[in-house]
Amino acid sequence: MGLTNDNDARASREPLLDDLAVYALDATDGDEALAIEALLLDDHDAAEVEAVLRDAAGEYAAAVATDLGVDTDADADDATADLRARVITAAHGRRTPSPVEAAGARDVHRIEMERFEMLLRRLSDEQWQRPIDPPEFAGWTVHDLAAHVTSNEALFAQLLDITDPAAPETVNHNDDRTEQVLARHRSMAPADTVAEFRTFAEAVDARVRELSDDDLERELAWWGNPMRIVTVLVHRSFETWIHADDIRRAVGLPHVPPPAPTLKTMSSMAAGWSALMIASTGNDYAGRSVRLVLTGAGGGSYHVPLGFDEPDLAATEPDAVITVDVVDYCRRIGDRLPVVDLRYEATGDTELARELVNSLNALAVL
Amino acid sequence: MEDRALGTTAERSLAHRLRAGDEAALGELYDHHSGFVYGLALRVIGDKQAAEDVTQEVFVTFWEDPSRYEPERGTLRAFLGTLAHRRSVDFIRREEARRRRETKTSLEPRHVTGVDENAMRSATAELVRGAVADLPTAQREALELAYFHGHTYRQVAEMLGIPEGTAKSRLRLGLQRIAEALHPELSEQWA
Repeated sequence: MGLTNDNDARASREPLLDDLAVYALDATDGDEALAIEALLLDDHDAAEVEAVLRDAAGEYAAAVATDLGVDTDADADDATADLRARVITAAHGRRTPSPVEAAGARDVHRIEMERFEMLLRRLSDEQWQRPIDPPEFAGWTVHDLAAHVTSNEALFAQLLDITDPAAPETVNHNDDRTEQVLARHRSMAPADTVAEFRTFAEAVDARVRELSDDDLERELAWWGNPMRIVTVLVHRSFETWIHADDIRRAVGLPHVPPPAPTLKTMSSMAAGWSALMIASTGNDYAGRSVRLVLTGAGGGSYHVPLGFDEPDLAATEPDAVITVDVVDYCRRIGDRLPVVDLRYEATGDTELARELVNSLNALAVL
Repeated sequence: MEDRALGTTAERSLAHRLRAGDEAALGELYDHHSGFVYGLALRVIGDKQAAEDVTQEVFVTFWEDPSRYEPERGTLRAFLGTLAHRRSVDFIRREEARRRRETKTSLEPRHVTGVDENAMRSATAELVRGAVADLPTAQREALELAYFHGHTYRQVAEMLGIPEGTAKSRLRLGLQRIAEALHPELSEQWA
């Protein structure tokens, strides 16, 4: 733009700046807009300035929209209910989504730890003190829950024989450890809790990337229960996602499910635990099986046994087919979606399907 | 605690996933920003069906080529707002060309309730809000009429009873101050 501090030069370019500004605001009429567009094609400097001004206009709108009554809950509710579906369908017509590959357990863990950290970093001091709503954490704040997640990551590090960083609390009894952790973190600034979380998450990530795939099959005692390291990685990731959404609810943010590859890994592993879940009913399901059709990005179709025998699934038909959204399925497993609110379809033995659906949260409430 | 870059880390991650064709990312994009895009379109156009059409076009166009969003230039929300605004104003200009109408009647601001006082603010948004708050009332008023009501600078001048050149200057000065808040080095260049 030939930018100098010369008064004459400034006076001569102000009309052009005026034109570029009103164009950037979309506040010109048709003929003037065409003239400015022609100018921008030839004048690279002017085009750069216009782009900066247009970006500023966008940031202006984004920043003040809610102050002016735009982007309110009323707006979100006002659009017709099927607009989202129409948008997704139309988008697919323009560009086909990529097929979803399941993410490896190490990557699932890293992604969920990073997402959790990003969430914590955007919270204000006031939001850290908001109460959370899960009944099992009655009286807890967002800070307490973040401390709990941090402590579990520290436990994971401890069980992986990581000594630096060292977990401040070492008792392996859940209630005792929780009491110590909450007391310590309640006297810490939120930034320090985040820093501690990051330290342990990074340490765990570094360690599991040193381990071979065979090493990940080694079992450790997760709260006294033998569990393969690869399973703990996915379990920790699932838990962290669920608690991240607990925090989002507390501060008025929408739930954010993991990326599709992560969902695929989590949900496929969970499907494999169907027998464990339904065992909570006390009934015998030997020889019984269902097909779980998990819909949405990251979903999949899984034929799984419901008993602890080892039926030849390839040679049998499932007793029931349950179709459910993959995110809803996971949230039900995490005891964050009541069974009355879970939308699913079942064919075949619908009573068996109902028993499984009712018991999906069995492992979460242990 | 947020990265000072205009586009946040999460936005860059989302943009990356969209470029990779991650369908869930499209859903996230819609869920996080459809209220703003639809609300802005509705505010400018004043017609629900047209606002839905604009909303659909914004997200579909973005999904088709996510590489057009450059996190270094600004926030994702602002980028989507720019797309929505351009299409909304295009609609208005087509309607104005198609028939004569009173400026005030179909461009009255919608009555809305329930302003979301808990809306998350990025560091960028706080910068911009500060700059807007510091603007002279005349500039702030002109910007709001032009941007959120889809008026041309001529219409803004008529509504405010000022010369067209004055309207343009007020719009330019207000927008310039916002740009300078985002890019302080511009203050010296534009002095």
